Amino acid sequence: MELDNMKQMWQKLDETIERQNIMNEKLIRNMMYERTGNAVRILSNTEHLGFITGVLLLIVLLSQVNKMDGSTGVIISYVFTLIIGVASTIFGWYKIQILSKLNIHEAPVAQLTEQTERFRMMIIKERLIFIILGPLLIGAFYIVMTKMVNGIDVFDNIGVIWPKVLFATVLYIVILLGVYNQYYFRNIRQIKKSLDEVKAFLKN
Amino acid sequence: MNQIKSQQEDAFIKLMQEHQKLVYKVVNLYAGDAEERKDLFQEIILQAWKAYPRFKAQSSVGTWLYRISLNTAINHKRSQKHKQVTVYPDVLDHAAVFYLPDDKKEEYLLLQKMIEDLPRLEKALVLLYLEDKSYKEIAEIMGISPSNVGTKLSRIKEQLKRKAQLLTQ
Repeated sequence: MELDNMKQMWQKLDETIERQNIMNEKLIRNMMYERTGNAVRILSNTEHLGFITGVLLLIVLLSQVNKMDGSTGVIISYVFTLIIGVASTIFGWYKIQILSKLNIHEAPVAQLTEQTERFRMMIIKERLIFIILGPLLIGAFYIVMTKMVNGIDVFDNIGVIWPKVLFATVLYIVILLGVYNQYYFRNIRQIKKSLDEVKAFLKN
Repeated sequence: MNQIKSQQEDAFIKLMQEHQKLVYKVVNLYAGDAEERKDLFQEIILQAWKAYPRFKAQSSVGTWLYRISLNTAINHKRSQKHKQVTVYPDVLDHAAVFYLPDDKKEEYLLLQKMIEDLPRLEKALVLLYLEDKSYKEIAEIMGISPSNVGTKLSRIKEQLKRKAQLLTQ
């Protein structure tokens, strides 16, 4: 059977579907207000949550600037955390703007698919950067929070802290290596393949 | 305000009932199993309802609904934890193909399976072709030129024909 033959039968199935009357009024009304797993909506909710968290964290950090007196190490950690916080929040806002333009209702199919896949690739690469910066981020945040909450400068007790930091970093790297290929590279490969498919489709 | 909303709901329900075939076919082509079909069906209705107040008939209803259905189907992420409240009719679990005569059923199912295995954008293209849409309409929905539609469909037809010949040898 070729596609052209299938076309005739396909049209005949319309009558069968109409007879079955799948969509009664009650069913449609229920469906209008229930939620399921739409990829774009999930992304959007995640980014909104991330943005709000970022803003709250920045507010807390900025309100505690007076406590960040002490060793150079504390100041550098504070500035580093602040820079990452600001960059992350601004980037979060940028992502929300991109997502708001993913118009599932009006965008042509191929274009929306391409935009969605590009966005997903951006997210994955962002997460990769955070993973790589992980030990630095965790360390800096720990130093800042210890100073903020307990008033303790960890650099005054560096001999005690370093073994813990070293252990945490080694553990982090071991877990990271395990997670990397399993999750992130597999996702990047998959998204790249999807993007290549879309680009091939859009080419004449 | 409630009256306007209620009128809008009624108009939307009527529209979906008139075009239920369209949604049903997209769902059957893109969803792998019964659970996914129900999930996707619901998501399409939800997306269409969200878009309905903004629909200003700049394109036909069919074009508008195809775009939403295909965009939703292609970007649908299967919900792992979703607990379905709505009771769906069993008919969603049964492909309408079983109403075809026996001698045509097997060939039809084979071709349908090959179409399901196509990349998702090519699948959309074939679906619109089977729905007897013009190249111009297909181009408008998919976001490519009408000539590109023709080229791609020829290529897909050849590909499916060769594959079918290999499988039936």
